[in-house]
Amino acid sequence: MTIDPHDMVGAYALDALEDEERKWFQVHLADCAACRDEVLGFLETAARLGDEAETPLPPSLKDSIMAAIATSPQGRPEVISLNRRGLRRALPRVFIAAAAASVVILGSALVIEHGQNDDDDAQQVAIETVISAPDAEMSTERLDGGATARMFTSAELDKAVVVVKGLPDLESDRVYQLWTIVGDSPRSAGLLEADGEPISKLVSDVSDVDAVAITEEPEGGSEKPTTVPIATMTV
Amino acid sequence: MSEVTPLPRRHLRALSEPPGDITDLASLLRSVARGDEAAFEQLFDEVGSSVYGLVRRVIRDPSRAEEVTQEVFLQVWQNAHRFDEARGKAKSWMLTLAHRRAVDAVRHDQAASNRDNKYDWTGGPDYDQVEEEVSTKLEHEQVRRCLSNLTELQRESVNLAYYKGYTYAEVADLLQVNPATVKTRMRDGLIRLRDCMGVSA
Repeated sequence: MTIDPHDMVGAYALDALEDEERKWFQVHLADCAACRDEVLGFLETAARLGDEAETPLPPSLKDSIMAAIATSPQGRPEVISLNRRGLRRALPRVFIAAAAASVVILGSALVIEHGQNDDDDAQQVAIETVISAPDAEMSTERLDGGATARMFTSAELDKAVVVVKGLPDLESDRVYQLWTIVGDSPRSAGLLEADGEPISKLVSDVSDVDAVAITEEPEGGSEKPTTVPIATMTV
Repeated sequence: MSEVTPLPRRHLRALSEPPGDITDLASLLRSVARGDEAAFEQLFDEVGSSVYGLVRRVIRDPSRAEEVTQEVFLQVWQNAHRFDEARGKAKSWMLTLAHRRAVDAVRHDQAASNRDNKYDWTGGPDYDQVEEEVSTKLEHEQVRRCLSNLTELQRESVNLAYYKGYTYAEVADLLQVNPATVKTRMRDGLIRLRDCMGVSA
């Protein structure tokens, strides 16, 4: 199957791709500055098409929505204090050595996003926003076996997106796990359950983060890294 | 070892303001992110009819459209902190969320019932037939005028995908043309629409 990804920009902006193609195209977006520009213009264009469908509201809708939000917690960033000393003791030495190379200890708190299943769409929009931010800087790391890890960092948005593709398959009881590192304290940023698919992860409040790392961990992930990172990218 | 390559710097261009988009929407969203329910109510008053209209256009079934609209606004409530006004219009952000949600819902529902039986698309694009009342707002007239400037295949491809939630492969089936052609027509159509509407890109 040969696909020219540039042809997909229109279908992407119209939400006319299948889920798998959509993910695939998002990884392509990471590589294609011209596509990102086009996507922004197309999304704005599509929103105008959407606005044209404006219809008077059913009378009861507002009340039910106001009632729903009154009882719904907001997915605000969660601040977790890191007890640096305690974590340091718990860390495997080998990881400290790998992660602490030339890092400066910055903040003492790290903010991570709530992971929620039902906000995938918002997550995707957030990822696009970071990747196409005007001040985005990209760093690339080539890993063993032809895999690449790319990180897009926007200082203005204080967010980063890590895009990994081509990771070798693991035994079924092993997974890849992403970490953010503040000083020498790693904090899980989620599992990279790719099954051969490229994946993107959003990292918030990167100004406090010194580096991002990927390790191989037992199924379900670990509280703390248990192996040497296969990739470490400084922020 | 990591090489850092700055991406080419682009102008922070203000995508031309959709007429009627109220700049205050962005500050309302910021207040919503802080948990301000009064700001949320104001926001709903400003964009509720647009979000509901789009969801309903895609989903058709009014009561299902109400459910999905409620989900969209919950999503806005929960994710308002993710909106960044330097990167786009507040209303466009919400309509983008609404469209994805509506398309997800339609595809999900399709698994349970056969949409082809339920909806007769054979009469061609009926984007203007489902309207009980055709809006006379200037910006809406502009959208309709721009749509009418597309070739028939471009227009049908854009309509079936955007307003009905079909994938490009389904659109290709419905129109009995090559999927690659449909993808190209969608892109060409959007370029033409974008330029016609004066969206800078």
